[in-house]
Amino acid sequence: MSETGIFEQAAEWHARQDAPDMDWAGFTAWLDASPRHRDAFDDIALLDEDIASHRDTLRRQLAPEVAPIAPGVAFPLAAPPSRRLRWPLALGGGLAAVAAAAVAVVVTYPSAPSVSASAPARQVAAGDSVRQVAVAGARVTLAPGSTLALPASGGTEIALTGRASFDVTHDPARTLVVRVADYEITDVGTRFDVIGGSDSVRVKVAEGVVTLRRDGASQGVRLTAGEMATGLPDGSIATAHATPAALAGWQRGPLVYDAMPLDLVVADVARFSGRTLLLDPAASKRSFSGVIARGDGASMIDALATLAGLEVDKQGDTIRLRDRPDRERAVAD
Amino acid sequence: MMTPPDSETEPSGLALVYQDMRGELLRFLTARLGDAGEAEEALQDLWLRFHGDAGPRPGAGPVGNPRAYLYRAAQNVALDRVRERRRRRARDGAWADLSYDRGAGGEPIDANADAEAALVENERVTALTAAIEALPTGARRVFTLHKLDGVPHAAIAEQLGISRSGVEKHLALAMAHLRRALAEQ
Repeated sequence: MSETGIFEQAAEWHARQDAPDMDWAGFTAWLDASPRHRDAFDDIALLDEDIASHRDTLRRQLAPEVAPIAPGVAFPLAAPPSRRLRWPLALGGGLAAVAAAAVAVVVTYPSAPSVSASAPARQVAAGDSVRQVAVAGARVTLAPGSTLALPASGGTEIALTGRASFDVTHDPARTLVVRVADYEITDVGTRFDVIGGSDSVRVKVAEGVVTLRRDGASQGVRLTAGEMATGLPDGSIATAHATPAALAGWQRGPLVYDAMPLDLVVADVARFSGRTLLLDPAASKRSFSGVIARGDGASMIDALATLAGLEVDKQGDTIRLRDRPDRERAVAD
Repeated sequence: MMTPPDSETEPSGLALVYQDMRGELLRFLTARLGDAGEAEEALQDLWLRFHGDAGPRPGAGPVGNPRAYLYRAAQNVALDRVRERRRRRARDGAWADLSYDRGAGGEPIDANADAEAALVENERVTALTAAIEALPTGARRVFTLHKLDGVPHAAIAEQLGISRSGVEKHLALAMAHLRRALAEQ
C-alpha cells in the first residue's frame, strides 16, 4: 500500500467516524494491520483539530468560490464589465485575459437604478409597494422604491438598487450573484436580506452562507446564518452578529436597524416613505440603531429624525436631514 | 485497576453499555494508541469523562446511539494522548518541525519563542488557506460546508444532491490533499 493510499484510507475512516453506521470493528482491524495506519490517522485527526481551531480565520481568509460545483456548467456569461475574474485557474487560464478594468456601478442618490452599458435585459421596480419576483431560482421580495435588474435568460447575476430579501433554492449548477453598490454577494442556497445605499451595503444572513466581496478585491467575507456585514465606501467590510429582531422580515413588521450607517438607514426610509431624502454627508457615516414603525411617509421620517437626532428641512419635494445643532455640539464624532 | 467505581445510583443506560463494551473499547484503544498500558489509562479517562465523581455528568442526557457515542468518546481521549505525545516529541527536539502542538496548549519558554510560535502559526494558517483554495471544486465545497461552516453530513448530502458516502469521499479527499500539501510545505 502506497503512502498516499494509507493517508486516503485514514481520511476515509476519519470522515466516517460520525456516521451512525461507522464500522468500528473494521476500523480497529485496519489500525491493527500496521503502525503506519495509526500514524497516518494521527496526522489526519490532528490536522482536523488544527483546522477546527483556525476555523474563523480560515473562513475570513478564504476567497469566495466562483466556479459552480457541477462540472461542465458554464460560468455565467452575462457578467457586467465590472466583474473581475479572481479565479483564472479555476476558470481556465485564457479567461484571465478577459479581466477588464473595473467600471464602477454609479448609483446616484436619490437613485435611479444603476445600469451599466452591457446591462441585463429587464428591470423590475417595486414602485410604492412590496413586490415579489422569481428569478434564477430565487424568490426575491423587493422593498418599495427598489429596483432589480434581471439577467438575460439563463443568467444568474442580478443588480439591486435598494432593499430586497432573497430566498434562494439551492442548485449545485448555479450560484446567484447579487450586485449592489460596489459590492457583490454570492450565494448558493440561503435566505438573506440586502440594503443597498449609494456606496455601501448591509447584508444580513438568516440561513445558509453568502459571500460579500468588494468589486476588484481578491477576497470576500463569508457570512453564515445570524451574521451581518456592512460593506463601506472605502471597501472595508465590517461583520457582526445580527440581532434576531434585525433578521426578522420587514415585509410586514417594522424596520429594525442594528448599528447601521445612517446613510443606509435614510436611503431605506426614503424608499419606504416614497419621499426624496437628502442626508448631510457629515452625518452619513454615523451608526444608527432603532426601530421605525411602517406607516405613512411623514410619520416614518419624523420617527427617524427624532430617534437619530436629525433636523428636518423641507424644501418643496426634497427633504434635507442634518444633525441637529445641539447634537453636533454634544457628539464629537 | 480499571473497574470503574460503583455508582450509588442506579447505573445509567450508558454505564450498562460501557460494561458490555469494555473489552472491545480496550481492543480499539490498544489498536488506536499502539500501547496496551496507555490504552488502559485512556479507558479510565473515558470512564471519568462521562461519569465524573458525582455520577453521570449533568447535561449528558440520554444518548441516542450509546455504542457510537462511546467509540467517539474513546476516539477523543485517544486523540488527547496522541496530541500530548507529539507535543512531548516536539519538546524533546526530535520532531521540532511538526507544528501541530504550537496551538492552544503551546508552552513557549520566553517571549521570543512566543513570537516565533505565532509566526509559525500564521504561516501554517496561510498554507492551509492556500491548500484549501487549491482543492478540487467538489471537495472544497463539501470541506468548507462541513469543516468551516459546521453543516452536518446529512444536510450537505441533501443540499448538494449527493449520497452521504459521497460527502465522506469528498471530505476524505480534501483531508488527504491538505495533509499532503502541508507536508510538502
